Amino acid sequence: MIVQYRMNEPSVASETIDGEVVIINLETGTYFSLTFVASQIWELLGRGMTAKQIVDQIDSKYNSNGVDLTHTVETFIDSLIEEKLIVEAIDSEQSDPELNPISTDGHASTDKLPFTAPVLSKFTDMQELLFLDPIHEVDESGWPNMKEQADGRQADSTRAPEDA
Amino acid sequence: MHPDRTIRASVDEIRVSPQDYFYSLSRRVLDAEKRSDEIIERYYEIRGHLIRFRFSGTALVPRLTPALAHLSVPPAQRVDLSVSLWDSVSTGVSMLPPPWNDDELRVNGEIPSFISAGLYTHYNVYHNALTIFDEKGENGIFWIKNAEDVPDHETASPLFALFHSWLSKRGLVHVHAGAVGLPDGGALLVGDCGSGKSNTGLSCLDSELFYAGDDRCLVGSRPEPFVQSIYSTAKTHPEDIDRFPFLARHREKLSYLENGKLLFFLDVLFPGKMITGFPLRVIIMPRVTGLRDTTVEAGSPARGLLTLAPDTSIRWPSTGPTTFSTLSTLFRTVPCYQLNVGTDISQIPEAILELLKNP
Repeated sequence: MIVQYRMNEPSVASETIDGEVVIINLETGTYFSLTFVASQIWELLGRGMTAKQIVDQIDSKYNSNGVDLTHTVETFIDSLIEEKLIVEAIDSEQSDPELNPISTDGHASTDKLPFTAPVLSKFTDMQELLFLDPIHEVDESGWPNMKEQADGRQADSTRAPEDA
Repeated sequence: MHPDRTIRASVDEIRVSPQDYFYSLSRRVLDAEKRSDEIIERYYEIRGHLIRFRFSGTALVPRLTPALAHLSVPPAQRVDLSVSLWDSVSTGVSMLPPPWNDDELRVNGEIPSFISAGLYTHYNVYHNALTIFDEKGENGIFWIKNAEDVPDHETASPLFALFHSWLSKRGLVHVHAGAVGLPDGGALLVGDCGSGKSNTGLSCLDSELFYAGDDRCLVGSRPEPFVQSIYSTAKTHPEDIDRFPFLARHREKLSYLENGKLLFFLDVLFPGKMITGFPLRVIIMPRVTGLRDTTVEAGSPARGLLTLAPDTSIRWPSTGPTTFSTLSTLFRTVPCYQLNVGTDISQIPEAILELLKNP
């Protein structure tokens, strides 16, 4: 059994510009940034590679300097799964991933770059738009009305930003 | 039992379809129009799309139209969307009870069970306002219980949900960004709250640059990247106003928002300064430095996308993928710069004009 991964569409959308990946999860209201090794792992996942193939690719390009690449890559993939950014795509036969070498930003392919652990930068400041449920009452005709909190304030998630 | 309670009970027994509910609401609109002293119509054009607002009475007109005045066009026979606007208090016409359950209301105000087959439904629980439109019939309804409950921020950015939903299907994405430029090309000003985006825009009021938006505008990527103005309002912190002498002389005409900011209508204070839109030539990310001079350096498109995309995409998840795709296209194709904003405000429009000449 081969375990590959795919982006968790349609809840998740991503874009890579100049080597940096921006990912947005519409279901959880979180968004993410990936750079350097993290963005390359994302690219390799998108090509349909298994964790083992990704480790091999990273190992061929980076000087790991004693770091356990298998553990590091698998831990990073687990964090992507935990954030619901990717899901496992289990297949009885491995499809053929694109094995083109990963980009190393202009360095000669023979030069190994120093390895830095992949980081998933997470932003949660927009979550209140989805989850800050206004405390409200329902009037006699069935229409909800806002019930003020004890401090008299509520963030209005239906407002245009900047006004809020 | 309250009469509407009786209706509510029957609604619970036999669920009204979204289309039937919209039809019943349309009859209430006719009642409101009959009971109003006058019908007031306003016509607006947004990137070739003609929209008619048809008010039952005068109560809502001063609260919902000033921010759109720069988009006004003469009356037209055919429109792309006609919106009927009414309130129960001034017209004396009560509202039908909602046919959905309370727990179907999303935090952002959308009601997914009533967003289907061309129908869009949004309820603002904060000021009791319903927006509903039928894409097929090209008709919309905006109802609020009491016109006096329209808050200042709604006057500054009226019918936000309606414009977002209707225009996003036409390739126009609502973004939290400012925009200044010339008829043949302009700049989108992108930044978080406090980045200096609004003050960068305000500094251009005393230059040859036109204004397309203070902190809200529409953008699109087809056939080429563009900016479309939507609201003529601008806001600034009271402590910042003395930095802009050309604005400070209008101090008595500015009003305070609930959040303490000063609100004003640009096309009233600076006639001719608003522009309805322009091709998008550069994306600028301002950053306040505290230094005297304004300088420009290359900006990171990914950082710009990270700043701009989550707000609109997450706020409106139903159109999130399309929004994200459109904004990604803009950041991939339009040059992106960081503007290090200095204290000598005369340098700011000069730097932007230079970028527009040589993007």
